[in-house]
Amino acid sequence: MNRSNVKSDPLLLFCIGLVMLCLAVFVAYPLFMIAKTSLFAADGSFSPEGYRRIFTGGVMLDALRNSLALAVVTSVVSTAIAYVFAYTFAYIRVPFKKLFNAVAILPIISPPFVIALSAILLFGKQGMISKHLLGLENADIYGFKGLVLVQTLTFFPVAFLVLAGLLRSISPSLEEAGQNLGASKWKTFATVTFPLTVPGIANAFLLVFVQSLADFGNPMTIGGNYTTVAREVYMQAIGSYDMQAGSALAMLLLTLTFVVYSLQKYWVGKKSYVTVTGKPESGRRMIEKGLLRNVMFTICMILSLSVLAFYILVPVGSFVKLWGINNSLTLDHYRYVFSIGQKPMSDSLKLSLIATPIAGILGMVIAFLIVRKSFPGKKALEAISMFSIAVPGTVIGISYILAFNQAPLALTGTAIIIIAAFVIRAIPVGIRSGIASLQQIDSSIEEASTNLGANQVQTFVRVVLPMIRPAFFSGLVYGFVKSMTAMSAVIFLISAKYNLVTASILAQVENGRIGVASAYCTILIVVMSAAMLLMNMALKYLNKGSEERPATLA
Amino acid sequence: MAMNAKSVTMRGVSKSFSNGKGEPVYAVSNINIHVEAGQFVTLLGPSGCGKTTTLRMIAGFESITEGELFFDNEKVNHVPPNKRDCTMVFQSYALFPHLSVFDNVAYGLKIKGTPRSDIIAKVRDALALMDLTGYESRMPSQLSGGQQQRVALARALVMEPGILLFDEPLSNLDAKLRLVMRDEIRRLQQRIGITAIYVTHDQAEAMSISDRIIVMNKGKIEQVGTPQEIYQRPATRFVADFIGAANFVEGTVVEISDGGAIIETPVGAIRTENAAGYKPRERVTAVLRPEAVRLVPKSTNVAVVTKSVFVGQVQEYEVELAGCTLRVTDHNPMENPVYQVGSTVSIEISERSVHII
Repeated sequence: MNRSNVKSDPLLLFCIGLVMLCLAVFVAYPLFMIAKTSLFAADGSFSPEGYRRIFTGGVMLDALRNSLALAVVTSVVSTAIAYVFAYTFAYIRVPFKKLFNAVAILPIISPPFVIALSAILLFGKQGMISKHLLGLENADIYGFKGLVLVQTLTFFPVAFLVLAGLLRSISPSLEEAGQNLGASKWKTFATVTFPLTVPGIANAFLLVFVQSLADFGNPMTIGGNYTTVAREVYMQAIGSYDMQAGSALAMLLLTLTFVVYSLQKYWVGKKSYVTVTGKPESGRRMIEKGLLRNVMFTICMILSLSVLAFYILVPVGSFVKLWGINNSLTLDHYRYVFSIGQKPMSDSLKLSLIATPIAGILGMVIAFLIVRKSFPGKKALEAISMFSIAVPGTVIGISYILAFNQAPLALTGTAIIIIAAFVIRAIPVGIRSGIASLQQIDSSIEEASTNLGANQVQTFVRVVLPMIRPAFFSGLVYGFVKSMTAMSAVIFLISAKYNLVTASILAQVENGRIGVASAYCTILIVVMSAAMLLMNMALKYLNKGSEERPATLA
Repeated sequence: MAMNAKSVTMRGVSKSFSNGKGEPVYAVSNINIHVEAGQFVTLLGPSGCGKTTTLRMIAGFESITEGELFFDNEKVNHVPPNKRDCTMVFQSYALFPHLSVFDNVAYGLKIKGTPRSDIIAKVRDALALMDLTGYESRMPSQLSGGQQQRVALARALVMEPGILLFDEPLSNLDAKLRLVMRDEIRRLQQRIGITAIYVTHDQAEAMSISDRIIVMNKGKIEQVGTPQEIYQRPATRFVADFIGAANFVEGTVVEISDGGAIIETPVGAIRTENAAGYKPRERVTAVLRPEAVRLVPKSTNVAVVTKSVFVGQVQEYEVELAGCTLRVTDHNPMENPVYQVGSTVSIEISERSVHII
């Protein structure tokens, strides 16, 4: 890979400087502040009081324990379910595979609440299943059980994606060799297939683990008395104003996620025995009949229908006056949402639409710098921009409050701080897909552009960007989706001037106004679906670009 | 097209990187080259010899660690690559996949700010020169390899550069197309009169198109010369071995006279005309090209044929003689007797073709 020196291009140097400045101010500085606050008292003396308060028991230590227990259980269950789905996909011929695929992907793009809300609608005190079907008077979905259920359904798609890719790329000839040497189908699985997927299992497990640890929305909605770290950080910071304890807890959370993330990236990630090229090996004979097929199919079917049911329930619930008590249909909730309650929705839309192009362009520029250029400080740039993907939203939220609540950067309560949080959350994915697509472009194409007289910016705009348009566009849509559904970071940053729809949903749930919460959720689902559809259409159009086009002097 | 061909001079140029321990590793060292304006010069050598690095230093894609680079009389070490008066034809063509043929060729002119009407005229001319009229609105993915190659060439030529650089442009084409394009490139260069610097590892290609060849090995220049000089008077063992095939026979100079010298070797006394500068009792190596050795019925020396292969145009032999294995080719198998494996023959060596190193 060719990296050129930047000394001769002032415009490029300026870009680099700008990027570094943004990352320094909006990533490095806040994290530094939170580390500092956790270790130093207000008067500047070294005082790990916060940590002491956590570890000497009480609510915060419970939260730590709970989070870990929850993460372990969720990861185990998610990975197991994901394995079933993935195996079915890769090895068994069943109908409705498109359905299974859609179901597995769905939670990735949906708002963080849908499953939790549905769980309440189904299994809560007025739950359709708990009260009306089973006649339980005081069903309690809140707490550990509910969290496991909801987190599993929310996070297993991530595990599914990892395992499906892996299983699909295992060469059938390996298993055929096993059978050729005398192993039965079951033994082949146990001694050939399964061992090959162990790194993938570890990978998936750790990915879900991290997400479970960092989860904020679900514990707030359905956690009940089962408190978790993310929730406690919020409580300490916003509720008791104990910033020291809050930031200490946040640092612990950060350390945990960072350790797990590193494990996943540097230890497990390197141990794959099978190169995942993304190209499915043709020629695998799928299992067509038998007990295994039927059992797997049934499991997948039940799970898929359940997930779908969860998603349908929320829109349904948005039309019900008072779920479980007064089941008449009404548009009241929507009337509320579009009148008094329209500010959160429009604020979310406005701020997301501003943040999205910023994140998209910044992500692409950073990817370009990382892949094609070398300059002092580049390793730091790489580290910081990728690091931000491992930082839980909660930590970002609280660190932003600490960093930006006083001059010279008094940004709390403004739109800028929310937009910054959106951007920082969205760029890591943009950077990664940017790097992937840039690596596929032969560097000689950019050299040809330079050779013909273009400077770096001209090359980037005229040659590179058009070639990575699909990746750029999906990055944009992803950024938009992520911003609209952002919860854990921005809950700290809303104010009287700027509210966000996700925070509103939470507030409505806490006030018992499930109907309104469902209405907001439904609108979010509609907006997200529209965005995804738009992306699909645009990608199809963009990929048609290789057809003959009239000569232009564009 | 009027060309302002420039000369290229490299003086003491080296390119080094530091390895992990901080020591410099030289990709090329002490390169001294002078290419006259309008000349076609090829950098020839095996993979890793530094020829591409040298070309890229001329283009500006690699920095020059030591030494100086001149275009005509202008020192260009620190001129950025997009400001140098040279255009390059890349090995992979590097056509912009999202632009049509027309827009590809027009790209550099647009960057330069050429007026629209001029662009149209120049691009049309360049495409006509490369036999691509009518292809203006095609996309690169709709072109064959040869056509892409010609678009790349048109794109480079339309800029009317002082120097044209070629980075193994033909290696992605099939054999027959390679021959056709090779001739076309040479003809074009001579017609326009532009300075061309060409990189290849294919010696037949190098010899057929170059005014001069620079043979490189392990970052250093082994020899500079015309194709004849390189082939018939290789300066080093490497050059002799790399260009064409060679038999190396060690021997001692026994007699020097006006007409040449006699070298005493295991395969007999070799008489040669080309022994200037050597003294008696000096140990030398005689370079015998396979076509300089002839097989004749057994007479003064005795050789055994160990390989005899008919390849159409030639008959390839290997013979063993006094512990040496010699490769011999007969370029006229239809007229000359063909010897089978195992037969005993004698060898005759053509004096004029023997070269001493």
